Amino acid sequence: MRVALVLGFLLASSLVAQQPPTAASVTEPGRTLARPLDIVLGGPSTTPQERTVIVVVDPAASLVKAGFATAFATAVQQNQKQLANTKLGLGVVGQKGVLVVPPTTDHSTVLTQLRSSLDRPAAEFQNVYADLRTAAAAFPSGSGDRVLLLVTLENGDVEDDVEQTATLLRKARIQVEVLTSEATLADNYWAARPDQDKPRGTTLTGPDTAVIDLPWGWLFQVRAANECTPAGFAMWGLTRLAAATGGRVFLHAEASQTAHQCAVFARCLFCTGDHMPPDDAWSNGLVNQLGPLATSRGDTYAALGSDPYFRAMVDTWKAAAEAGLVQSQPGIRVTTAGAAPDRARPGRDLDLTDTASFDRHRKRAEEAAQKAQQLGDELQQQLDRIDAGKGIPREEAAARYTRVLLQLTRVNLLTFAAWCRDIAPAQFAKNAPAPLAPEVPAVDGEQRPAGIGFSNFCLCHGVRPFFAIELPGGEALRPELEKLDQLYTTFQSRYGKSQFGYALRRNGIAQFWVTFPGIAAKLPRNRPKSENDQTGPITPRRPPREGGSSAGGSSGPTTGGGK
Amino acid sequence: MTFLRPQAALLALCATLAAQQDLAPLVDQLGSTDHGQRSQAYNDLARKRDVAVVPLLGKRITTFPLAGQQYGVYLLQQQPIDATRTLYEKLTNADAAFLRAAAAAQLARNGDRSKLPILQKAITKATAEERSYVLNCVWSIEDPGVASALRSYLDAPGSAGLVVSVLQHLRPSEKTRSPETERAVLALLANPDLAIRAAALAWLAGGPGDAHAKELAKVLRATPDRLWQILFLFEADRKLDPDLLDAIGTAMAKATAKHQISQVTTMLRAQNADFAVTALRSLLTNTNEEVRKGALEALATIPGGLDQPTLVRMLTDSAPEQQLVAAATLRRMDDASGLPTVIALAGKKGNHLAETARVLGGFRCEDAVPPLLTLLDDGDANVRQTAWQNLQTQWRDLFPYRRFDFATSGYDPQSASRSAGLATLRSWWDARKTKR
Repeated sequence: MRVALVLGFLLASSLVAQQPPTAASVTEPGRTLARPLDIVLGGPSTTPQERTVIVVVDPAASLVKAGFATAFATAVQQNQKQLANTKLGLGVVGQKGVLVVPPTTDHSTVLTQLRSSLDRPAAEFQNVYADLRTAAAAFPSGSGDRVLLLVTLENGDVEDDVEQTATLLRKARIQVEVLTSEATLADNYWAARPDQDKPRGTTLTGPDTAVIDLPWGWLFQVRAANECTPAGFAMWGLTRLAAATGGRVFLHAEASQTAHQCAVFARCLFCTGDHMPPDDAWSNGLVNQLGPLATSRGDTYAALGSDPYFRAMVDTWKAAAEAGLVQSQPGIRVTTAGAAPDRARPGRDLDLTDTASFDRHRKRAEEAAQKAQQLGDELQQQLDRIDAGKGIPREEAAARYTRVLLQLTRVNLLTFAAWCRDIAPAQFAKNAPAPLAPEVPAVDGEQRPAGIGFSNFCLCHGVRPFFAIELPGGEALRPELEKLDQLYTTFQSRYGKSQFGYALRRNGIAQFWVTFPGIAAKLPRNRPKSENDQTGPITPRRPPREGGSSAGGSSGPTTGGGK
Repeated sequence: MTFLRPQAALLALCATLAAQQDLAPLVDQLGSTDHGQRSQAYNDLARKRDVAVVPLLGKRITTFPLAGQQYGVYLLQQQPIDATRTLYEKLTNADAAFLRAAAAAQLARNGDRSKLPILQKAITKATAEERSYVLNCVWSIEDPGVASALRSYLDAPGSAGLVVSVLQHLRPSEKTRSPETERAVLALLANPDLAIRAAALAWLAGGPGDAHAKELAKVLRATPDRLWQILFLFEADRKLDPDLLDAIGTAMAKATAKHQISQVTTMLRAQNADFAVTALRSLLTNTNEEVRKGALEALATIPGGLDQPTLVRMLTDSAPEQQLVAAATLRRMDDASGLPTVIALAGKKGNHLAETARVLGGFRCEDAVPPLLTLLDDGDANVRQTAWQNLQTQWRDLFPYRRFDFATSGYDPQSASRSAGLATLRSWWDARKTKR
């Protein structure tokens, strides 16, 4: 009996060991400043221990606004007893040599210097990874725990040799604790803007994963869901540092939260901001299960390359891009041996909106809709062949998401084709009968069309309510909407209370209109964060960051939470 | 063109003088001792938002009684700082401490921090009567000196209202509790006025076992009405003693208005969402209809506060108002099962019809349209107006590829002759499927 138990334990242990660690294993619950500071400064024991804690602060305006200096002073005061034998040091990201207060038992010096450093918040891109490598050398030799608390709300996406940094810190026996903001699910923001200026030697990334593992840039979606879906975790680079050094990640978001918002870049047809979606409260267990890998980028490629869901999804993504259904190609290619990074290329442009050639657009759209159906069916067949439990849960979610998006894109293409056939030409037809009041002609006067514009009706309420909406295509569209409803409902019943369910709701059914020569405006960028207890995600607006290179003048988003 | 400039300037001057002539009597009335006259004059001037009021106030504001001075300050705050800066500079030397404080505060808010010492001094010098007025004009100023001056009001507070105002003002500027404020509040515990003691206890109330919280719980059980004055002194990030929460939940049953329920709910949710739900559910059978309705609406805002089976039961087991809340809440949860109930209510007489029109307007489906069209001809103008607004939103959402100009229907909910407009709307609705 005892032998059987031991064998069972060993078997279970070996199975657990096969699962690569995910961000869930290092990410702590909560979104406050007080808890992480209390935990890190208080240390593992209630009795004073010999320790060195260097706090490296990235002095962004959002950190100042969050009241970090006061929260830090409070935590130091509350943990005075435990900090009796602790040397505190202070580093400031962007300062020459990083360290502004070498480790000392005179904690008041650190508090004073911290306040003064935060008086001058920085708005430029900062290379926190390089500064961490510098700060590692500041730890005094000797016994005692070595802890580096990195506080950066805005610059985790400015990557600079994450793995070298992690190795250096691990070898120096430095435990990295990170206080940062929440990333966006498989964020593609920088991938879509490769020309952004950045500090020398860095790469702008930003997703919660080492590689973007969710297709982005779907046809007829105004903005990728990847750019506005809270991930539940930090950016991969920061998660990796904590995971590699035995540290933890604490996420911060401001206490003031906005109410549920059905859409960020879309219009909601079914409510006026009072929606209470049944899936609004996230399931922590599910979110953690779908957490990204916290392994090195190389190990992540290896794990994804052997995952059947990921392989099926990437193949489909590539084919969809070549068919013009997605505006991005995957930045990774799968081979028989595994997976490897690939140069990210744009997908094929179907050129459906730049002119008002309605008939030509209709034909192309119908062909593309056919391709969407074919790819969707093929992907479904591949997914059906994979045995349950064989694969990484996150990649399964990504593959099933891709399946739903193919059908959504098909619906949008068929809607577009019907609009090009039935509605758009009629708006410019001579002798068209005047509509009955209170309806009026959609186009005023003698205007001539220059192209086609589109926006989205959000899917936050699901697909079924659209059965009551008058859409181009009419009854012929109904079976396709029903199929989308079935796929959507199945997906949400499984993933609704997670970041993937949220991402699906951030897509929409497209609405089309003719455009006329005029002024085009640039859309602002929105960044998400989820609530403290993950009871529901929200999407606040965030300010742009300035600078980016010695040349300056660029602008871009901040990453993670906080307004 | 230059020869026109003097003429244009002259015209502008004439226009200003004419405006001042209109405004002058109203400004004079701000100095009236009659509250009604003063208040009416203020409302008229506030509606006009005319910059010509600035020089008139400059001449008269120092002669007004305190309440009139406050109205004057509000009117000045409506105007751009460039038009008022000179007057504010002048008022920083006024005899009345309130005017000095108001002027210095407004200049400080607009970036002139050199006025903070003047503000600080004016706060300190304000008379007992002026203090509550001063507190109304120092919003969003976070400065240790100003906070210290305001804290001095706690040394000899005239009323609980003043104490609550001071503590509310100090909270954002102090972020966390300062030892100085804590000392001052502790001293208030010896004040003979129970309302002041209750405010102090609310500010001090802490977590499990806290003596202040327990004492306040006793006060609230004996005099539940005190809750409304001290409600905003509880800190959201400080967990309160369960005994105090229980007393607050009990006091909530004595509310007289819906918004009070909503305010307490916000506080209770931050403390313990489950407790908030339990407390609100107990109010669903309260004898006061306002309380019942407030509780239902508050529960509807809490995820899981009202479960679907309860709401579905309410569709048949409750009064029309509650049926409507239940149907609207279900609709917000993507469950349209309440629609038949709402349609049935639209056909019944009663004072629920305006709300019925609003709830119907929330449904985006064809079945909701005919009852709304019927309500467009209801005898109550309020019902017609609500139905009209909701019908427009509903049609725009149901038919996103059509463009409407509802004025062309000729329907006006305020008009006595509505039949032609209604016929046009009905014709469009009946013909909608054949037109595309």
